[in-house]
Amino acid sequence: MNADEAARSLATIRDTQTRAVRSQPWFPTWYAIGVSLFVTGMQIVTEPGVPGPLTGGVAVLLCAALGAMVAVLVKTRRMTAHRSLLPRGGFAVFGAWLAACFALCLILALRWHADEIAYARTYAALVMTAFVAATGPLVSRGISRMIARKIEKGA
Amino acid sequence: MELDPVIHAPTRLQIVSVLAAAEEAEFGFVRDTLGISDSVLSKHASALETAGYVRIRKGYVGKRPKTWFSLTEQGRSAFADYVRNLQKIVSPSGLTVLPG
Repeated sequence: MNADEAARSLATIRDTQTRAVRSQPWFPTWYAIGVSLFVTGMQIVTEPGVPGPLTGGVAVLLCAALGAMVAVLVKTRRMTAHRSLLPRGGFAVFGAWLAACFALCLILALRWHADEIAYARTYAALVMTAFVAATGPLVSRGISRMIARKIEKGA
Repeated sequence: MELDPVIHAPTRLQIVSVLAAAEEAEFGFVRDTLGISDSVLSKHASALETAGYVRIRKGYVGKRPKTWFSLTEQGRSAFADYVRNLQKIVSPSGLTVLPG
């Protein structure tokens, strides 16, 4: 094989890999929304005034639903980018996004609780779910693009 | 320079390239990404499995049978060696495959 052919092969490898990585979001948004709804459900059942048995029963159902979601995620995921390809910036973006979700929920819950609004935690978790739904696709696609750029740079 | 003959065929190289970028990839994903037929993918995947480069996992999603591929450690190492050898061929010529 001469240098031209080798260069073409390397270019083909990178092109194939970037195409594969770009075609999939790094994580599916439905899963992130599902986890947020799980958190919201946990807030509802632990609000003051909810009877104990109901709290326990619904909490068990919510955990079962979370487990089912994980199983569906594992079984239906078409491709998961290899962990070695995730750049540090990708971890940072994902971590910052998660922190923003939690911070938003916490700040709103504390604020509305201080204002004596009923079900403050639940409403805050619902807002967090909406935030996750709105920003999740951007974050997961963004991370996929970061991985693709890493491959293009040959890192 | 000796290039791994198992990976060297163009379609096989593309299959291994996709799998090198993935923890695991579903049959349909690899087929659609590369634009190849089911039979071509099956044939090359079997050859790669026989060489010990690819792990094939079969299962069901609902009632539908599904197949997932992943590179074995041996396959990952063979791909890394293959890429290194290509880079060795390219580097003395001053050619580059980097964008820009």
